[in-house]
Amino acid sequence: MKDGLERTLIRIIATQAHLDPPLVVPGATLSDLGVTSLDLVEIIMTIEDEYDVIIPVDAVEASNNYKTVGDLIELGVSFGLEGHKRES
Amino acid sequence: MNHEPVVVTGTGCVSALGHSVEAFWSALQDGICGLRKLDTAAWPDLKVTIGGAIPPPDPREQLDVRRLPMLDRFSLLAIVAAQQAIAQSGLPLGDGGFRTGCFIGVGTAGAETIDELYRRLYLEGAKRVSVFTVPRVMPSAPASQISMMFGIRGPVFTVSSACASSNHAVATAVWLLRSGIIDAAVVGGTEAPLTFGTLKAWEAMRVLAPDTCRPFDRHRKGLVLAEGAGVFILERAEHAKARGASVLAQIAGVGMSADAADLVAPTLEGPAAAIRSCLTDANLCTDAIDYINAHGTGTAANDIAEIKIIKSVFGNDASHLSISSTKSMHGHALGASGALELIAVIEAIRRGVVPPTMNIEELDPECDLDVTPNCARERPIRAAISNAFAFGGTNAVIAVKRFDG
Repeated sequence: MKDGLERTLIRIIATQAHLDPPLVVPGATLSDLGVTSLDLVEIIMTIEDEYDVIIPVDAVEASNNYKTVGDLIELGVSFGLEGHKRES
Repeated sequence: MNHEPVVVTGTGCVSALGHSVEAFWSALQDGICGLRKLDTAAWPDLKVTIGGAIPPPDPREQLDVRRLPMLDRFSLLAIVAAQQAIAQSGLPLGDGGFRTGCFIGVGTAGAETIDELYRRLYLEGAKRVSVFTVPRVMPSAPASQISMMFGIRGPVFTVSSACASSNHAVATAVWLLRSGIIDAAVVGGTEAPLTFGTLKAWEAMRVLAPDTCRPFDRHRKGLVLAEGAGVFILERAEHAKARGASVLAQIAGVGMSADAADLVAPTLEGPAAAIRSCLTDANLCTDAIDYINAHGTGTAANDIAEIKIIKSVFGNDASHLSISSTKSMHGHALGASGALELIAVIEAIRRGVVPPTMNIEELDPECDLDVTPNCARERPIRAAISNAFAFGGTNAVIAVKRFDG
């Protein structure tokens, strides 16, 4: 089930950062991928829309706390999004 | 007054007349009007459907696609113009940049983004809007985006005074350069007002011409809105010389005033005071000026007043002046107008050609000075001024002359 979440998050990140999805791997750092602080907020808001949840983080907190693709996957896990309704 | 000279070492622009200074000047010299029918299919009930839109290709194509979500069109245009100016001047940046400033004139901020925001919220009932909304619409966005893109780390801010914004931005740069606080400045103006909401707002003022912009013509019907940006690299002359930069022209002086009267109708005294102050600052007598790029909006109120103002300041020397309104070709780009017109002035001086006022069929007898109707004129230009008299009564005039080294 975590694979489904991972695939969805990678798609969201790749779309926001205009990247080929294969480049977006759990170990990649967001800054290396060119994801800015506000891109990150947009990514989190897209996750909220797709999973119909609320993830209360602000722009500064988000860029301080989530440095890698894996950190965002863990964020998803912590909000119980594995196996949560739609998966890609 | 004696000040250290401030010189221009780079120019860049994008406008209804094309995507470079070369295209802009070539159109001005040939009297080509860039005001055309807009694509308003998605905008119902617009009474005025002409404007000065930038011709294809879309300037967006010049930037990394990843940068675009952060940019309202007014920032995008400013970056495109700044790229050209910085490239031409060869200004070294990125290695510090603390002695370089960036001052961008803006009339209206983030019009494209605000239109989209309201459409999504009020019409489509969207629950959330883009996280980039605030950074896109902030009036300082163009200056900040240029600063971030090119590594400019000195004073960076927006200057706003409606249609005089560009000239006030240039004046700000000139004074900061003279003071020694900075060595160089990326300065200009930008505007992207061709949105449904902005056009409706201007329509309500009933100053938009339905056909075209014909300044100084007896049958002029108003102004034509346009988008565009113009950016300059200004430097202390010593700084430009030390790095071996080519100098295009000298900013000889600046003058500013305010009418403190009507919101939209210009006074005669306010603009005249700005011109006099500019000539004094530039240490130029009225007989040293060969060309005036007029504010020349093509509205009933502006044109007659501007001719009276010029006569009151220049007296007998007014009859020797060449005057023109290049808004008849690039349109009224509001906060960017002064920058586009300053490029016209710099090129006019460099090439010894006065750009025309186009679309004149029958001169208004009250506009009885040489307004260079319909055809460019060759004449050596020693010095020139560019007028900007804005809504709100804010006036700013820039004097330019050939740089003697």
